[in-house]
Amino acid sequence: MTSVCIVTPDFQGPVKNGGVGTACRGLAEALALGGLDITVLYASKSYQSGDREYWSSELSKIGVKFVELETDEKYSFPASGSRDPGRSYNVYLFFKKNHFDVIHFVDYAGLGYFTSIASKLGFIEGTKIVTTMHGPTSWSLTTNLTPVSDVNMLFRDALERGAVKFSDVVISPSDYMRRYLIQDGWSLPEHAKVIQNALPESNTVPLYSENYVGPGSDSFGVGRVVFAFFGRIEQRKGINIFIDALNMLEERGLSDKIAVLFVGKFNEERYPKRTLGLRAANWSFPWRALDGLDAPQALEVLRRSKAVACMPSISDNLPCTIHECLSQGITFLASNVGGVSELISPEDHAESIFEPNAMALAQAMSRRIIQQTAPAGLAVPLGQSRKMLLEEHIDIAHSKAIHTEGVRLEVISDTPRVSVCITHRDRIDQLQSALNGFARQTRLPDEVVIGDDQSCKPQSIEFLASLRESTYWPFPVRVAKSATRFPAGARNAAAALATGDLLKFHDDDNISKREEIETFVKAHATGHFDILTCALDFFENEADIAHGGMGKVVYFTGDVGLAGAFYNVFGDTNFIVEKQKFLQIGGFDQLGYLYHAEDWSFLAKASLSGLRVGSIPEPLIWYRAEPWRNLVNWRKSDVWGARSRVANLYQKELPGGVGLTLKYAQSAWFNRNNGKGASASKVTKVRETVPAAESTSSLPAFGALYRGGRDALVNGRLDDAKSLFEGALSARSRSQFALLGVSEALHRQGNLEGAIAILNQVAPEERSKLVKRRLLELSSHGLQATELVPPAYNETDRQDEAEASAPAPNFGDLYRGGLDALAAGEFDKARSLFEEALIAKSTSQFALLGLSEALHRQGNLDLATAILKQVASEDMSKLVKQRLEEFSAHGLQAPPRAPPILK
Amino acid sequence: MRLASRNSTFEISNVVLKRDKMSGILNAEDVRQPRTLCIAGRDEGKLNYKSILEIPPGPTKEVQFACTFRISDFLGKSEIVVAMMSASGDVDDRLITPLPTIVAHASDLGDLNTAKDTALVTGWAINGLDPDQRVDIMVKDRENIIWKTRATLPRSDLADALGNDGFHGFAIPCGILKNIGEWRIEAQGADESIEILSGRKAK
Repeated sequence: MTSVCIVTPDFQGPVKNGGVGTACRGLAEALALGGLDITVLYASKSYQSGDREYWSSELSKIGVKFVELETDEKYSFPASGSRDPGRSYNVYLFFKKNHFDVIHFVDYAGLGYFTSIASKLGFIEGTKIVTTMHGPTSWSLTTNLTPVSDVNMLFRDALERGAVKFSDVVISPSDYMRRYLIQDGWSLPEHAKVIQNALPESNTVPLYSENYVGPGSDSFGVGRVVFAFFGRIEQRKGINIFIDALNMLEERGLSDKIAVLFVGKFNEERYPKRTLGLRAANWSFPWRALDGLDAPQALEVLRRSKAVACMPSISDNLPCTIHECLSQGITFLASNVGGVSELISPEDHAESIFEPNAMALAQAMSRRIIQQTAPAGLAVPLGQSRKMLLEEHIDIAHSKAIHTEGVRLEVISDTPRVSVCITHRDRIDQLQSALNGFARQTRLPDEVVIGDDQSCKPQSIEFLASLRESTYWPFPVRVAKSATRFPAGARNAAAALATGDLLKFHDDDNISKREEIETFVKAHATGHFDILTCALDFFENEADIAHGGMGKVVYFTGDVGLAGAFYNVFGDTNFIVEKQKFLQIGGFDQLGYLYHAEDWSFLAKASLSGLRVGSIPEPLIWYRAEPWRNLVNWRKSDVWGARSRVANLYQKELPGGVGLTLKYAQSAWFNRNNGKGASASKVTKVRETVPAAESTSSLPAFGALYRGGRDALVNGRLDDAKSLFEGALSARSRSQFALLGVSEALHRQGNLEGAIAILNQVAPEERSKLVKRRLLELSSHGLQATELVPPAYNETDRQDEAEASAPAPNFGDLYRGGLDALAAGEFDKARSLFEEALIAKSTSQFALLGLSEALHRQGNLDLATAILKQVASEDMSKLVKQRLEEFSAHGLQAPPRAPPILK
Repeated sequence: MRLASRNSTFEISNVVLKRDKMSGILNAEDVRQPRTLCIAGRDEGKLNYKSILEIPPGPTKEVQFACTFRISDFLGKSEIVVAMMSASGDVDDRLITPLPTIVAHASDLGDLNTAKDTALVTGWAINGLDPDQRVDIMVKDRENIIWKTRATLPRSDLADALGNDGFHGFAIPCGILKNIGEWRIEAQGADESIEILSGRKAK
């Protein structure tokens, strides 16, 4: 039996109404009725009705399996606040484990991005990918006149375009949308078809019996013509056109002839209820707003009130609302936009369709007041859409002409030679580990070229010299010495010496997984990308590898257009590229003074040069990531240096002021007032007495909001927790408890940057011990940091917060405490105190020495050494240099040496 | 008003029904069994009585009583029922009183002189018989309408309490009231008008 999985964040049932959910339900029913094995992967945690178990049981009755998408916290994305890549990646993880003949995605949020790419690169086999274009984000943002307020929107747009590009088949419910996509420059696959949506059975026939009691069952509008706005209450659906038309009818003295319903979801962001209330102040006809109905209820209301449904959208694709009215014989007036006319039988166009403006609607309504008309007919019978969708899916599943994995486009060679280029400086142990990694490959590299970044230790020089003549490795090893001491120079030097068709760059502290080269070569051979990066499996030391890593994998999207100017989502230097193309664009930039973001800037440059940069969604290497690196390495923490460097590349390429505008957008995005939205909003105090049991006007005190926030946090209601803690902050702006709460909510939502930024708002000298400790944890462990619940609080405990929020001890106190603990043999305590001292003063080499000494005395030589090596050699103090030499010469036998006493 | 009960007689006097409050005096003669004074909104369905006052057995007594309605007690109901109920829930006797059609409420202004012109008097007004027909709100001096609007602003508290769309709110800027010598805010609909709030300009 042909198996099909429909992937959607919106499905009629769990979601009460909405076009995408209705179409997906209709599709599922049509395919299940046709005898296919149907699964719905619900990519949402939101249930407006019922829950997972309920819908699982309910849908199984119509032959549809219902599965909720699970989230694996192990995987993270560089732009941690962006939700869509994470959701799309988790969808991919699902399909790695579950096979289907056909996977059917909706276009929304690029859910199919990683799965489609993985399928094209050969990671998902025997599956065809279909995407239906209900209305992509760029289209709805434009037609809805919505501002782009979140960089996630850029990712969403790029993911949607990528998902479509790499799908095997695209289905557009209307010819209008197909034409729009072509005009908007979308890359569509060869197989792009127009098939109208199928409607769920419940939307095509009246669901309720004559005994129905509920909205619409009373005598609303008796003796008048009832006009019902039918659709989401927002600008794109034409709410303002409708209201303007009502005002015209009122002005023409027709108010005693009409009654009005608003049947649709309110969206406070797009069209506040208050705006409708203000605009309704002139109406003397009876009206009623019905929010929160599901689709069958809404249709029942229209039927029972004998309403003329009004759908005056200013843009639309193939609205389900019109489809439903047509199928249930409900009379309507619809604006002539998008694919609306494709739905309606041509002979009914004159009576049912009007031009999208208020005057035209008012005229059409006036005609309906004088004379009712018969319901319009469908252009394509309902059964025909269902039949076409069913046949199409069976064809797709069995067609050999469509797709599939491993399609070879233009490739440079059937058996390309691969040169691995390893960047190295004075880390022999790690270089050996890296070489061992390549020696274990399922597909050996044809050569390894070490780009020596001016190693200066005698043993390093000796080791590199020995490599030149060594026959130990199962591949030739060559050494290219960089002319400058700069990693990018070393990489370029290695690339220049390499003889392979493909260059695989590698840093000496990382270790390849066994299939790395084979996977890269196969993926590259599909011809879809010029450069391929991959996901990274983090490890701290070799012991982690034996245990399967640190439980953290970072994945990338590859090229996502201008969103790549905000975050490095391309990948890191661990990529494969055709040598010729690498050289054509000038290799890595050798600025000689900026070390950071070499990967980001090279990959951005490649993208801007027209090379296709993709990312394999699988972790092919072990990526060394000691948690303290970002704390002690100024280069890693100079994020604006990195961002500006990349933004400069875009600025150079974009005409006129566009590049500068992009830089402004980058700056505005990162400098935005993290987490302060609600607290900054003004609360208008209203002195009003409503009956006590119904009053909502009083503003809760700090304690109530704070406790509510804790409660929401503990129960996993993160949006609520954030809002409540923000409310607590508006009541008491200096509360570090509440700040910790907001930060924790952001942290649990995956927004590490926001979680850190909100705590950084407290001046360093005012930071409480709790805040300092949390900053350390977040900086060290990122999203893997242990979850924190801010301290309990009640009104009588204000003193507690005052104490807990009191500034923490200063650097001197912490440092001296560390010395004392070291002397007393309390090494864990010493480590903790020196770490906190480093938070207070990150440049202190004394504190680094203290931390290193505590580690040394605990027998952890690697860590004790590594901590000190994070100081750039040009900045290294005499004491640090001396200690490193002692560690190098004597290892754990090095004499204990407490750091200096601080005066 | 007189309510008869088994072996007892109750008399209610001085009943005042204004907006959401009802008050009065109950005279009970020779109460042999415990009784409860109750009220309910009257409509087609079953009456859901709300207790106002427990009356223990005893000789003749006079008690002042008062109760507050919830908004939902009014809506869709044209009458209010006052009843005497026994401990077993039997209703001995009941009295029917008409309710106003328009129900309204407004914020208490406090000191208008210190209020900013942009501060608002907010409130709600509902046509209890036909909530879809929105109620006019007028600011008047002694004779004239100075300002007029309609109670159509959304109120989530009303939506929750009434189970309808909640578009029954209004807001009047204080600046409008400050220059009027004697002012009153009235709600008008269905040929009925009630005063919600009044005041005078400070000298």
